[in-house]
Amino acid sequence: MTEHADHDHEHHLPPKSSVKRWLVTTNHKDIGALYIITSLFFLIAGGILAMMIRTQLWTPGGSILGGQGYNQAVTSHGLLMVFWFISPFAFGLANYLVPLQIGADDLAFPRLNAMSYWVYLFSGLLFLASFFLGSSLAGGWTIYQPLNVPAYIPEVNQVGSLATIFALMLFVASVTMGSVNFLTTFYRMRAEGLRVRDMPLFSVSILLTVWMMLFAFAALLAAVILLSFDHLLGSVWFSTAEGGSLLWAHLFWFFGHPEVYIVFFPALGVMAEVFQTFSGKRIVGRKWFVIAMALVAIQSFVVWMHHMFLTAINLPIKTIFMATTIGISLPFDLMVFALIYTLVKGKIRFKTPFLFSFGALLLFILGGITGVFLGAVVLDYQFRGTYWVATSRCFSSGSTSFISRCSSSGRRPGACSTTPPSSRCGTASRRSARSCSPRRSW
Amino acid sequence: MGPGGISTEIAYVLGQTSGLSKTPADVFETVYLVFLILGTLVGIVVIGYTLTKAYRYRDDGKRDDKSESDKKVVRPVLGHLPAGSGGGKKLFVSFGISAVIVLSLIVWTYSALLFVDDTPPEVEAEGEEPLEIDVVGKQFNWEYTYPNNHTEEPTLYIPADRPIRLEVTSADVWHNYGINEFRVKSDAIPGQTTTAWFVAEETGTYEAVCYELCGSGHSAMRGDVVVMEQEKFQDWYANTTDGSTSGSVSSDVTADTDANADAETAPTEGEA
Repeated sequence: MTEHADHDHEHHLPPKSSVKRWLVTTNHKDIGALYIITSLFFLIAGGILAMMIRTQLWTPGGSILGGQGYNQAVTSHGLLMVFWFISPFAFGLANYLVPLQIGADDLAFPRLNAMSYWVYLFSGLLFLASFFLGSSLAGGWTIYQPLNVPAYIPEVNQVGSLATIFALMLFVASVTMGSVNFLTTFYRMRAEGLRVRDMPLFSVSILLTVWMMLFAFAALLAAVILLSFDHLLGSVWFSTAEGGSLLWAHLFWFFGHPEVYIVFFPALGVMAEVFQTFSGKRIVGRKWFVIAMALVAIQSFVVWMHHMFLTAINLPIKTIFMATTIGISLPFDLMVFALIYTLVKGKIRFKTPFLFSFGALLLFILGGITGVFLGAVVLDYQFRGTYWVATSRCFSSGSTSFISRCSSSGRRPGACSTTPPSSRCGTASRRSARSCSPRRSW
Repeated sequence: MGPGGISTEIAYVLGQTSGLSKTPADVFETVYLVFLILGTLVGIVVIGYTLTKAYRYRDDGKRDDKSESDKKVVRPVLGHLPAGSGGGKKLFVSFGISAVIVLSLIVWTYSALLFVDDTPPEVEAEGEEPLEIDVVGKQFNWEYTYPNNHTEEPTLYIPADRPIRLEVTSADVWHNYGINEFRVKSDAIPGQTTTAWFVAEETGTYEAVCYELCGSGHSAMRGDVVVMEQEKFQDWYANTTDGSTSGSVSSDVTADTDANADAETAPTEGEA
């Protein structure tokens, strides 16, 4: 039946060699590929900005970019990597693999899927264009207020700042369309008899990710809409002296903390699949692994104020958020141990995908240990605004997510429909007995 | 590190020392040291274990599937729904151990948090009241107001060995006031007042820095912190008048102060 549906798709689409195909396609694999390629383009853009940051820091008081230019580079590097690279990269994979893993013909709304891709692309291009419209936002990727309201932005730069804000709004629109699409697919289009809890772990991780996205990005959208009012209509949501700054901080971090897991969960799903495949062994404590992931997804919405420990919040609140923060680290302990014990008594093949995932796990352990340091509020006070946080963050979310997902790219998904990746082989042949061997060598 | 070492540290941080011998900087150093040692140990154990097992169970083509230890292992089978392997007990034991370590560390640091967040009570009992200074961040400078309404900018003059209590706010955008040497840091938010305290134990010149991106002059938003001996500070403070500023106080006083400070710094550093 899957084959049949695929053929239907092929019939009304131009061949893959034509450019038109890629402009009109609604096929989930095509869109997955588009997502991955586009996100890699933004990775390079963000990487160039990172190189510019380092170039500026080559000499003390570096003069290559100038103050405002440097701040733009820092801000845009953060925003590009977090919004336009790492999440869409995951969603390229999800687009490609989730329908295959749950036995659906395509996503529930293929045209909506195409639309969320194109909105994503244009939001990114608008973001890059904002450099040439005066200047993009220059107040850091957290866009703290009131630094980013018109009063503190030089006159000439305001069009560019507004363009950045619109780019963010477009991006949220794309993300929301994608979330709704995936949720519908997960709940309405699974193969008969496949319960949610029985889905392969990558699909489970994507399901939890899209739930988090649905709620977290709503808070970000609210915040950037209010910010656009401040820019366009002269309102004072974030420039008012009483609480304007804190309003932004709360809205932003209510989004920002779940975002950490939105970025990381797909990578965790990939790691779980790759570990099982290349150790030739089912994951240890699968049920608890899934429960731990679900717990993290829920708890991620009640830890945001640990980003604001120094903002004059009172001791009881601080204590509560310290407790929830420590609470959210424990399910991660369990997941890490589950991955490690999956190796024990396995038959581990050290192929490229496994090496990537294995490296990602080791990095994540290091990132987790430095994270515990931050859980201690006394230490957190002093680490605020330092490279400790930047490194902990970039280690555990950035590099780990990227590296582990490289491992899935290493599996050459292009060959999927005829020779499914081995991780899928062992786990998801429900509809028909496809011919594939988990021991297949690559 | 044995348990005895840790309990000594705990006693230390819980405040079984007196007076000025314990400052927020000391607390930070102790907690940091304990975390660093434990974190390194945990990292070595976990990563060492992982690497060992990954090597031990590599697929070298020699092991036989039918060996005794492999029989219990659940291998992926074509057409089956994904299931889990056994080994749940080991999983929960490791999880339990890690949870105990993390939770006990956090409970322990909570007392340190209470100490840092509180005013310094044991010091007040000795009759040495903390010096209260208002700090206002503004692009791109720090302005200090002393109890007698004298304002100083951009240099902060304080006495050594006396708790300094800061009330920090901002006149424009979000800043973060921090003096790394004394392990003190506090957000400067417009419309909000945050508090923090510290003790400077050694005279000398240090630096106060902004830790929150606040515009194109952010990286230059730093000012000296001059720590003077208590008598020197009293002399300097007596010369400031109600409502005066660093600019309006006769320049010779300020210059004199700077000279004092410099004179102060030199011998101290010599002694050290």
